[in-house]
Amino acid sequence: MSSPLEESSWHLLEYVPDATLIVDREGRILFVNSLAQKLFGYGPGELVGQAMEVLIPQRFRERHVHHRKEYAHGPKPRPMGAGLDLYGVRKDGTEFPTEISLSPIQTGDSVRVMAAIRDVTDSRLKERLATLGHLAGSIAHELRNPLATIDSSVYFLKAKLKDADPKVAEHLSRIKSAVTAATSVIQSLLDLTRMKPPLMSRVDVAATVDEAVAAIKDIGSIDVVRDYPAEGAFVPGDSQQLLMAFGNVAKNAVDAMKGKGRLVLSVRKTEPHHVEISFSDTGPGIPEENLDRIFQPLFSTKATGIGFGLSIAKMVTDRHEGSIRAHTEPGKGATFVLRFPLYREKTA
Amino acid sequence: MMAFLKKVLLADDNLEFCRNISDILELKDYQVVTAHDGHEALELAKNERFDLALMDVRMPVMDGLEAFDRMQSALVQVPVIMMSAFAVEENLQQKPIYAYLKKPIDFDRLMALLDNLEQQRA
Repeated sequence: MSSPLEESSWHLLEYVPDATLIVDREGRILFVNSLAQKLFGYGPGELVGQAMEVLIPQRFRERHVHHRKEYAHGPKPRPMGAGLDLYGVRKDGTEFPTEISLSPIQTGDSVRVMAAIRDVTDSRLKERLATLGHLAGSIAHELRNPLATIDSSVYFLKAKLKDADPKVAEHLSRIKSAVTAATSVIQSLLDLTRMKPPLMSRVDVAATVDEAVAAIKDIGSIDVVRDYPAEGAFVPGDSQQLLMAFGNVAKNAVDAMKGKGRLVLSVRKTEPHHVEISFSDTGPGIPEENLDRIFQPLFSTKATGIGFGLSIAKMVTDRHEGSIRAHTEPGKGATFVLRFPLYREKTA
Repeated sequence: MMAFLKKVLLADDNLEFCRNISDILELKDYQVVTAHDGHEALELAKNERFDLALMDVRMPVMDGLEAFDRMQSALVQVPVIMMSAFAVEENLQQKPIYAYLKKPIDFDRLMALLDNLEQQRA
């Protein structure tokens, strides 16, 4: 049933790729490898001797004690909490989703339990996005059809009522803009949830930034300033995805300025073989507490917007071995910097 | 110059959308014959001559792709514009269709396609 793993060899668990701990029948922690300490945010020696429930969010502790006692009656190797969403809690109180496998081990006369713990934040997010993608596909279809009907009615009425009261034309334009806005929400939802692996080619960065900015409507009286290298800069990338990333960052900047201000677009080569593209706006800036959340899907501070733009940009940069970061000085504006490897012959 | 009455086969299972497109095409002096599934469209295409077919991809009974394939097999000579509310229609990529339009329809593009077809005919 259980395999022998003498206490003297527990230190070998430092070499396994998972956060691992060993507990006794009463759930007391006997050993923790350094990956586990790091995962839960504890220092060396802090966990040994504690009840393992300290690693579980308060609301699950009582239930866990019960499950643990049951397991102690007939221990066998198995994943923990099959079918349940499990969570761990760090020393600082933050929680994260986990997957845990349990194996009983024989040490001398007693049976201990070894638990291998994995932080599944990333894969859980991917699963959620996949589910969302599926749902988004059906919703998009269901919404595009009625939108197509509204849109075609507007087109017909515009053609038919060319000489009507100007107010009529105004209303029709407003309906048309609303349909366009709704369609673009659907499009960005699909972009985010169904993004394909990039189709690489040699992409002219400055030209792509210009194309992205030119496509933004309602740019108002914003002054656009460009600072591009004379010799051009090229990256290996999917031109459509990069256009989408630049477009979303630029749109974010334009929206932040509410029709007035200066947007500085800069492209420059940096060491060792990279190119940095920055978008600086003179909007209100980003409050410090929001800085690390702005790239998460569905995070938005705008009244109209569902917070997909910057997460699309982040997803594109991630897929291009690039990075995106934001600097801000509240009250003075924000700068978004995207960094990509430069195109080199044979990299595409 | 009104050389001949241009005849369009329009196939879509969304009746309201179908009526709207008919109205728009009739503004441009097209004669529109409608079908609400792929089978109906195929039968019409086999029996009447059309200058253009505008067909939704996803339809009941027979979808637009199968209707298109059968029109090809039956040697029906008509340029086909496919429409779909889906963002990507991967099965369309290999097909010799005249154009693909995503819904909501970009009417400027549709009109440009129609002008283009007329010029080819003139």
